[in-house]
Amino acid sequence: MSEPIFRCRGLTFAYPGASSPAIRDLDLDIGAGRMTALIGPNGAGKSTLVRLLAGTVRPDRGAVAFLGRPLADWRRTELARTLAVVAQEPPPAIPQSVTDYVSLGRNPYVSPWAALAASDERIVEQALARVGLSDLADRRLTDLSGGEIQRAKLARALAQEPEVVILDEPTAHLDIGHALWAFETVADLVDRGMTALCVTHDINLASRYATDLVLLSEGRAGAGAGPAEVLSPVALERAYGCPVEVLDRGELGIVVLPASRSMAGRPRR
Amino acid sequence: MACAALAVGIGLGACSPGADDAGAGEEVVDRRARRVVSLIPAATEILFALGAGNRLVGRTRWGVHPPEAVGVPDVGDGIRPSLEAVIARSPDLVVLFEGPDNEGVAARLADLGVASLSLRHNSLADLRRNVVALGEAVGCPAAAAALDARIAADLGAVAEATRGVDRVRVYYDVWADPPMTIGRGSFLDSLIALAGGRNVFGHLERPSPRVGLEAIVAGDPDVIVRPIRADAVDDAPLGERAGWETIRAVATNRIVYIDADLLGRLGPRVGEAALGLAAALHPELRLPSLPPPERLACPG
Amino acid sequence: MPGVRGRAAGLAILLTALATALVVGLTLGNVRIPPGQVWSALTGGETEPAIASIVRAIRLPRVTAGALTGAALAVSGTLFQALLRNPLAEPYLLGVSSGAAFGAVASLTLGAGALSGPAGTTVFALAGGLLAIVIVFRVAWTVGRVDPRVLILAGVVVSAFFGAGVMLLLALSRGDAFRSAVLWTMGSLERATWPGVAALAGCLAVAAGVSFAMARHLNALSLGEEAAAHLGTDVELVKRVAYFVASLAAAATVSLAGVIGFIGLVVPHAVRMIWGADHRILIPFAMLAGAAALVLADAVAQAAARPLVLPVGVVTAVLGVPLFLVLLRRSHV
Repeated sequence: MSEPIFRCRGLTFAYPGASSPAIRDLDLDIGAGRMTALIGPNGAGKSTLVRLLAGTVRPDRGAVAFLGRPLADWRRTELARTLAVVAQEPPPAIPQSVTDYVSLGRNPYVSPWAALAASDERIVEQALARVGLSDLADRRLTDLSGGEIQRAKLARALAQEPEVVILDEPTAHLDIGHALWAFETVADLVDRGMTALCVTHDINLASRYATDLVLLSEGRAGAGAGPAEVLSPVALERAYGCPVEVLDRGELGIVVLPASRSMAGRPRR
Repeated sequence: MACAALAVGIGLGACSPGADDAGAGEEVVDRRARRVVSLIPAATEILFALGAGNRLVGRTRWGVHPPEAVGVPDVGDGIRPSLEAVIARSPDLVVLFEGPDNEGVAARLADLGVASLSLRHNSLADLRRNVVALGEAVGCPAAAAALDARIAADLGAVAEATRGVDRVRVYYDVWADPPMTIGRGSFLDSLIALAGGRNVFGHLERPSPRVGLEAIVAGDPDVIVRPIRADAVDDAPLGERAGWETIRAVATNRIVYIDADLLGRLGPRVGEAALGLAAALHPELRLPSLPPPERLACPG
Repeated sequence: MPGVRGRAAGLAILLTALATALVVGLTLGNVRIPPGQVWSALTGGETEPAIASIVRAIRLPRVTAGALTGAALAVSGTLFQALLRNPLAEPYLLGVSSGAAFGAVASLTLGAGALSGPAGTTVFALAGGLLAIVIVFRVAWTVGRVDPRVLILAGVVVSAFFGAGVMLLLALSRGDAFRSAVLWTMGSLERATWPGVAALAGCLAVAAGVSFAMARHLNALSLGEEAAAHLGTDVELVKRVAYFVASLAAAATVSLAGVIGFIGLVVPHAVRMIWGADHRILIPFAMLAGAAALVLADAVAQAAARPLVLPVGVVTAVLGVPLFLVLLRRSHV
C-alpha cells in the first residue's frame, strides 16, 4: 500500500466530562484513491473520528497525519482546499439561495471580502451540475427536499475542489433511490481519483460500493479490509450486540440482516 | 375636608380631598389625629408651622425641615412607602401623596384600620387646601386659617412688589441631560409669574416636560434658574453646554442658582421662595421683607 | 435572491434613503427653521446667531450621532445574529446596555463634580458596558473556546444583575437622579457632543472594517461552527474578534445615546430578507439602513410634539415594527 491519506496512531480522545473516551488507542490508515466505509453501532465513536480527522477536535493522545504531515501543522484554509467534509449539520437558520450556499465551498480560495471571480463561479456551476441541481440554483435552500439538500451539501464540498472528501451519514433520512444515488456519486468521484471516507449505517450499500470497510466499535477499529473479510457474522454480532444473518448476493453486495434475538429456534414462516 | 376629619374620627380608611360623602350622623367622637405619619415633606413642614409638630410620629427621609423635624423618626420613602415602618409607628393618620403610586398604600392602610389623608400637591391652590385639610385633621382649624392667611399675604406682597414690571423670560432647568423643565401644571410656574417672570415653556400643559435643546435655544430666556441643593456642586455648567452660548441668559451670565430645598417644596416657606425668585429675576426692584412667621399653637 | 443588479439597485436605494434622512433630520428639528436658513447656517452664511447655534452646535451633532448610532447598532446586531445563529440576537444580548446603564447611573448617583457631569457619565457608561462583556466572556470561555449557549445565558444573567444594580442605586439615591437615570435608559441622541461623536465614529470604523474583512467567514459561520471550520475558517479567532467589535460598537452607542431598541434587532433581518445573507452585502447595507432609520426616527421624535421630545427608542419601535411585520409576512421566513 502506498502512503495512506490518513494515518492515525494511538489516537485517544474523550469529551470533557465524559467518563470514558469516545476513541481509544486507535490505529487506522485510510488508503489513497479508495472509498473507505466506516461502519459501527451508535456511540461507537464514528462522528468523533470524523472530527479528529477533520481537525475540529484535537486528540488527547496520539496523532493524525494527513498526506504525510501532522494534521496540527495544516493551516485551516490549506486543509479546506484539500479536504472537504459533508457533515450532519442542521440546515442553516438564515435563508439563502442554493448558489450562495454552494459558493461557500470557494471560501478557502478567495479573500474574505472579495467577490467571486468568473472562474470560481464556473466551478460552482460545475459542482451544481455534477449533483444535478442546476435547475434549482436560484431556489432557497430551505425550499428543497431532504434529498436535494444532501445534493447541495455534496456540491458545496465539490466546490472546494478537494482531494479527499469525508461524508458523515450521507444517506441519513434518504429513501433507497436517493441513497443509491449518493453512493453511486461518491463511487464515481473515487473512480476519478478522489479519496472518500464515508461514515454510514447502510452496510449493504457500503459493502457494494466501498473498496475498504472499517468496523468501529467502542472506540476501536478493526483492520480496514475488503467487505467480505470485515462482514463476518461473529464480528458484526459482537459489535452490534444482535444476531445477524450475512448473505452474499454477488454483484449486489453483501446483505446484512439483523435477526431477532428471540428468533433462535423459532420456525420460519 | 369634613370627610378627612370624619374618616379620622371613626378610624376608617382612605379619604381624598373632595370626596365629601363620609357618613353624616356618625357618632361624634374626638376627631383629632394625635399620631401622624407624614409621608409628604411639605406636610411635615406645614404641621410644624401649625404648631402641631408634636403630633408627628413619622416623616420621610427627605422631611428634614424645620430643623426640629430631624428629631421625628424617619420611616423611609414617601412614594411606595414601607408599610411595616409606617405601621410600626402606630399612627392614627397617615398623610400621603395622592397619585397612582400610593393608591394601593391607602387601601392597605384602610384594611389595617389606619386612616389616611391623600393630598394632591402640585399647585399653589393645592397648598392652601392642604393647609386647611391638615389643620382640620389635627383639630387646629384656627391655626390653619392663620397660616393660610399668612401664605396668602406673603404671596400677595411679592405679587404687589412685581406689579407692572417688565416680565423677564425664564427657563427653569430642572435637569440638564436630558433637558427637563416645568410647565403650566407646576406651582413653580406660578411662582415665576408672581416673581415677575414668564416661563418660556409655561404654555405646556404638563408639570415637568422633557423639551428639546433646540427649543431652549430658540426660547432665548433672559434668565435661567437652576435649583441646586445647598450641598451640591454644579455638575453641568451652562456655559459649557454646546449651542447655549447664544442664549441671552448665558451671554449676559444671568444664571440664578436657588436652593432646591426651598424652591422645590410647596410648603409654608413658599412666600420666601417667591421673594427669592423675584430678587433674582429683578435685582433692580426694592422688595419688601416678609413678616417673620408668627408662632401658631395647636392645643390638644 | 437578488443578483448583482438587485444589489446595485439596493445600494442606490439605501444611499438615497440615507441622504433623504439626513436632509429631513437637519430640516425637521425641535424648532421650525426654514430650510434656506438651515442651509446657510450649515454653509456659514448669514443667519441669526441663535439659528446658527441650533443648527451647528445642536442639530448637526445630533443628526450625525443618529446616523453613526444607527449604523453601529445595525452592524453589531448583524454580527451577533451571525455568531449566535439566533434570530433574537441583538446588540444588547450580552448585557452591554445594563452594564452601561449601571455605569451611567453610578456616576449620576455616587459621583460628584466632573464624575457625574455629562463627560463623566459617558466614560462610566462605556466602562460599565465593557465590564459586563468581560464578565460574560470570562464565564463562557471554557477550554479555549466560546460556547454560544453559555454566552447567551451568561449575558442574560449578567444583564439582570446589572439591571438590579441600577435599581439598587436608584433606590438608595436622592430623588432627582432617579428621573435622569430612568430617562437615560430610554435613549436620547441629544447628549451628543462632537468628542462623543468622534469616539463613536472610531469604534464604528473598527467594527465595520473588521467585520467586512471577515465577511465570508461570517457567511460560513451561518452554517454552524463545525461547518465553518471545514470551510477553512479559524472559528475561535473569528468569534473572538467579531464578539469584541460587536460589543465595542454596542457599548459605544449606549454610552453616547443610551439604549435605543429595535434597530439592532430588526434592521439586519429586514436587509437580509430583501438582499440576502451574504455579509459582504449585508454589513454595508445594514449600516446604511440602520443609519437612515435612526436619523428618520429621531427627526420624528424631535418634530412630532414640538417643543417636547419623544423618546427616540419609542419612535423606532412604533414606526418600525409595523413595517417589519409586513416584511415578515411577505417573506415567510
